[in-house]
Amino acid sequence: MSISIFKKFGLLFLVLVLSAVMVACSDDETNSTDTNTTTDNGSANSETEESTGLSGEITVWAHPYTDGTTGEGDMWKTFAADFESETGVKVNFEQIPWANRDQKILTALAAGQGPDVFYVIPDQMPQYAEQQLILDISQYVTDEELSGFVPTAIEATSWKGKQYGMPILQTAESLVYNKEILTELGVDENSLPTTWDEFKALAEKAKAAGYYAFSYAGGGSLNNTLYPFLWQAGGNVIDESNNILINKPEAVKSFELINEMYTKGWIPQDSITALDHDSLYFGGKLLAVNGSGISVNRLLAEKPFDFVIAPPLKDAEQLTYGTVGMFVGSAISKNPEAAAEFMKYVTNTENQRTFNNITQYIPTRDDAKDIFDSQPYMAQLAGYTQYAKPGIIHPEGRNIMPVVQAEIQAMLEGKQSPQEAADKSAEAIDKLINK
Amino acid sequence: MKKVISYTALAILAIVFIMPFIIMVFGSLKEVKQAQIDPLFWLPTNPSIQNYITIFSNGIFLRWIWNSIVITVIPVMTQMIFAALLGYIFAKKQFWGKEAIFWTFMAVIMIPQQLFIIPKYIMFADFGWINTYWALIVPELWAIMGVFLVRQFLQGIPKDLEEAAYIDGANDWQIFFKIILPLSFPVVATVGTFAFISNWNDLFQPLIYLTNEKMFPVTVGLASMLGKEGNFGVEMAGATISFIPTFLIFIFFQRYFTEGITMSGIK
Repeated sequence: MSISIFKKFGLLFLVLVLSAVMVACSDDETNSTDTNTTTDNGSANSETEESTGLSGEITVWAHPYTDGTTGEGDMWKTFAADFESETGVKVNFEQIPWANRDQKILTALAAGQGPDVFYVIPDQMPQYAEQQLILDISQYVTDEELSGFVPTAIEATSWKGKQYGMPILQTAESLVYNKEILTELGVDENSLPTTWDEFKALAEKAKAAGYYAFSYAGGGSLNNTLYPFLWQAGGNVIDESNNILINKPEAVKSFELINEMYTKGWIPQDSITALDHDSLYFGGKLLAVNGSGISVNRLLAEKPFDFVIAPPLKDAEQLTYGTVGMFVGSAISKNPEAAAEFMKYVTNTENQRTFNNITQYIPTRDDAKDIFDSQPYMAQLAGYTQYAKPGIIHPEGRNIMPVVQAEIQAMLEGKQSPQEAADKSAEAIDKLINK
Repeated sequence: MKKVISYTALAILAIVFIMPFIIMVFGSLKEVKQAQIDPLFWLPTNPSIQNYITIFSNGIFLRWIWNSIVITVIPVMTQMIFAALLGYIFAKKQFWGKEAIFWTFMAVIMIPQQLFIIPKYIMFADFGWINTYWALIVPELWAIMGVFLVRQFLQGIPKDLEEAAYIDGANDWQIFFKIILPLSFPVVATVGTFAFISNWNDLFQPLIYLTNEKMFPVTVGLASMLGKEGNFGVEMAGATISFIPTFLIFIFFQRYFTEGITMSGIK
């Protein structure tokens, strides 16, 4: 019996080995014609090469920005084909899953391989820049070419005075209220809180009516929890010169606010470790969340309740979180001019319109924001990008998050005061940057 | 009374273990809206196969399945063969440096695999193996853990069996194929099951070595279909599809697997 099973498996094994050999050997052919998106305009390239001075090919890595049903694949094919016909440079576009993208990019770059152009967000950019993995594109981009971008997007794509990225998308988070709860609380949607004090008063009212006032996903990114309050209070975490600011009095105010929200029950009980409060929010048990375009489009599609968007809150300053997505060039690219040209090309006004219309992110150029002329909610959020800070722009930006998060969690568990949490966060950050 | 307590405890444990499976299957039948409102509430109000349609309507999903089969079945087969052969040699044969060689191999598994990723990437790039099956098949052709399991098992088999066969005139190959292999089938099947689960579910290595979506296995293919915000229903449908082959393999080998686990000393 056992031997007969071995014989059957042996046959299957042989068939598989032969098939694998055939497929693996033929893979080179599929690579050249079908690597997600490639273009091949043949002889027409030589004329454009002469006019642009560019030639060769580049590999571009980006990620799935949508669920694939809105024409994202076709968009990249068109971008690649148009760029090739304009410049003569062939584009090999490869769509890389979001999962483990840091490891994938770093492995390929460390091995001297990988893409010429790839996508990063602001907390990756300085880390890559410090390790000299990405291209300083200042020499390829003029001030005039950068002038059409929203200033916060340019701030997020540069590090220590050098331009590393070309921003293609932006988000801006703002308070998205459940209108039905507002009506029940007797609050006019045209006079929503603009300051911390007004928000606290509304939170108290919501709590008394049996609702949570706000979402606090304490197990998630600080970009959506502490940082917006920290910036609104006039504080910051660290600056480019490594001065630690997180335990300054203005910063401590944000720790105090979060502690107050938790102890008074304005945020859900699982806020210490929660990753999101979608079920509470979509289930109509939560008054407001910090929402972005994605949340708004989800609300519009699913219609769980009517909603209204209010501007970001203000304490000392009116600020919120909003990420910036950018394309950067590899420092080891064999074709840096073409890489920089592609980054400029894909972020020009027309392509930003196409890209952001499909992905429903906010363009980083003011003149491309007209895509939201018929989408009032998105237009409203697009107007808030001027207040949107893209996280902590620092090589240790990502590593700082878990250490601060742990101190906030200990604070919410009642083990330390807001001042102690801020001081311990500062100590931990100091250890990180001086290790 | 004792029985009631133990059955109750076992029933609770069974529920705890089966709950993620139920959430996965029922979650795959949920519409997006319900999945968002309460992802862990397990009964879909309007069951729908839309999430499966979304996955299968992707033109190259079947190619991903085929890729997964190739990069899984070949290593499973070779790992079973090498585990049986090498396990037999390390358990029963005497040669100079046997223990040193074996424990040197064993020491390699104590090094975190992440440390090998960049050197392997450089090597595979030099070989032209990036975006091919070779990068995923060749390093998995044999695994010392399988050899260890078979060796442990065979060390428990009395030498008399081999000696009797020698007296009857059998040579080494005959002893291996006629005596050792049939006896060690349960543990070899266990090695195969472990290898199948590990290779079929591997996301990290294919993610690192592959960029061409035509070469993606199911794990990476499904990940590449998910936008930044994810989609609970599609994720669960993907997990369910991906789970079926592992489940079938386990059902097929269950008897041998249980025996193998017991006899090789894994507890």
